[in-house]
Amino acid sequence: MRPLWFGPQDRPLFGWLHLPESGEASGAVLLCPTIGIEAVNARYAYMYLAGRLADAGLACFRFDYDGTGDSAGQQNDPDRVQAWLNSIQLAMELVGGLGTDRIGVVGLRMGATLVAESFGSGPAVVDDLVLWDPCASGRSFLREQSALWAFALGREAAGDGSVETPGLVYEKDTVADMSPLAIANGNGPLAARVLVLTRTGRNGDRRANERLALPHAERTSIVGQEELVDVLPDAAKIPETTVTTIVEWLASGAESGHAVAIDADAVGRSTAVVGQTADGAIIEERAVSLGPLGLFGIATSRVRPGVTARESGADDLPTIFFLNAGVIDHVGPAGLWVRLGRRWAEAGFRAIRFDLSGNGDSPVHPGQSRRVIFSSHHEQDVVAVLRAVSPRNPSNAVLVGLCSGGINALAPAIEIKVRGVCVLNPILTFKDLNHDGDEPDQGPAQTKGGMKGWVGKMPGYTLINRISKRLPSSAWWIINRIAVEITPARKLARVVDAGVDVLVIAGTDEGRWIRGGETRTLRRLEQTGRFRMEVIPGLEHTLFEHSTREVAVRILSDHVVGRFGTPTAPG
Amino acid sequence: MDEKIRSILAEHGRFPVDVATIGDDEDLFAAGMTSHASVNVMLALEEEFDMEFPESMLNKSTFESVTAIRTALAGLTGS
Repeated sequence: MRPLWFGPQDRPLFGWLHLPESGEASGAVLLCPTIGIEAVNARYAYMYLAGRLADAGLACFRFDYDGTGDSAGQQNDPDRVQAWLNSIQLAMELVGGLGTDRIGVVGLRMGATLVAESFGSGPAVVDDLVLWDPCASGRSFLREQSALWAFALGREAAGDGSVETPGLVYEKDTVADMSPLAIANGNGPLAARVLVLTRTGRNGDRRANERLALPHAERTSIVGQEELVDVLPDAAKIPETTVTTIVEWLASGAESGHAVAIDADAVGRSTAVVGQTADGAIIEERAVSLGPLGLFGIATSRVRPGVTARESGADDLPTIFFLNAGVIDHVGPAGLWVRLGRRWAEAGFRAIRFDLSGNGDSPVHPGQSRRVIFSSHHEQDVVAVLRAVSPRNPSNAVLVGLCSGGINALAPAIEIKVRGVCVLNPILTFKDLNHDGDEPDQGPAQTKGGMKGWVGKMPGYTLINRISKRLPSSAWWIINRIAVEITPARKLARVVDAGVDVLVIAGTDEGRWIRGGETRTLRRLEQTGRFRMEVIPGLEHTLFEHSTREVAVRILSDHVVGRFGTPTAPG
Repeated sequence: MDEKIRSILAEHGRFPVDVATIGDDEDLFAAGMTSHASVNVMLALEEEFDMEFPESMLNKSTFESVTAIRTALAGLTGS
């Protein structure tokens, strides 16, 4: 598979081209993703589906809509719906340019709704169309997503016409543009063949059903959608049966097609300009393969036309490395790593967002599980990446991580003695990090979890764990000395004592876990001048909540630019 | 109505316990219904009773117990 950019030079879109091993394909398939948190959940399923289609002899292209994922733009730019529809057209042009006889399109959830809008009127330009658990309308999608967020946070809608969903705020104009999108719109054939995959047990929207009652449309009930999109991202499971259904259906359509040789290197572009600074420099992104395993990342840097890029950022500012937050891929929570990477590149930093082994688009170590939050390989992945990116001076780096990403940053920070670490909502206790699913022999041991081994075996441990966050600091002082192997504060102290600058941004609960019983330790750390901890009341753990996320972003950005944005003295 | 509500809760609520053991006034979220599951419950109720919860009712309290759901449905369907 090959990462590439396509579309307008001044507004590039990002995608992945998957080809059969032979380099020849009898057909080509475009995968149109859904939007928001559902896209996070389904990302690996799409990657897996693309691989399966390539194995079946089909070229496959998956991509990010304008303003999403690694594509240019931001999620709150104006004219979102038109930009998403344009993205589909541009991706179709790329797929059409591969030269295969047959073209298929798959749209999942809101992706299906957008595909229906794109191809719903006029003659069929798509040969095989799969509508995978389609949303009846943009309105129904927004309604479900806003309800989900209201139930999760226990609060009401904003009432200003905007809709907040996990990780994403749809502005009033976007809501107005999205709502009328509907499967039922249009009266064309959609495609020469159509496969509609609907959830077992759901009747679906009446108008959508009538629209899709086409003579050339097949309808199949599927299972496993709830386990794919109706769970937290780390729990999302690939619906194997559904994937097989899609692969077999598309492959059968392309059976009569002639195999066409495709030169992957001739498709798309290997770099992209995603912004420009006031002084005429450009913000450039390129895909990078990092370390001996070839972990996937995207490097963002400020480039002055005609000036050769140096090892580190401009003026030898440190390189910023963004780590996966749980199983969320390199774009970060709510696309934050993309946004911050580009912002900090404008300030002269080089920023690299990458996927740890088994996550996002990175490969796995032998025997390693995919999509695990904690892997015993992850700390050494970070070390390998730091050394690969800046072999002469790997310590000129700042690591940024949320949750598990924060934890995975700590040991490498000490080993490499990086300049700084910024950890957001780290869960530094209660987890046994020293295993990797049920897989044996997962490589080098990782940082031990906070609680002593016998604590987890105690009857009622889960209950104790649950009520522990209500305990006063004095109670924690006692627990820390009896039951905790190393407290979160002392784990952070090891990093600070290694000479690394540490910023911790935490929500109320996470802050309590860190501070509990460790007031003196934290005071000592603050006196070093290398430790800062900010607690943001109500900060949602994954930063999917908009208002508190923006507070965290301000603190984080001011800290990085203020602390590391001044060039170091030469020599 | 209660029978239909409980049937939908059993099918879509993803409770770790038998729905029959949950009392009418018991907190469904505390009993294990996740936010994702509650959206599926909401959609199934709308399909079953052929109505739509207005935006003002898309909050946790509407779905927090069998009684709360029954009250909301009664208000919307007039039954």
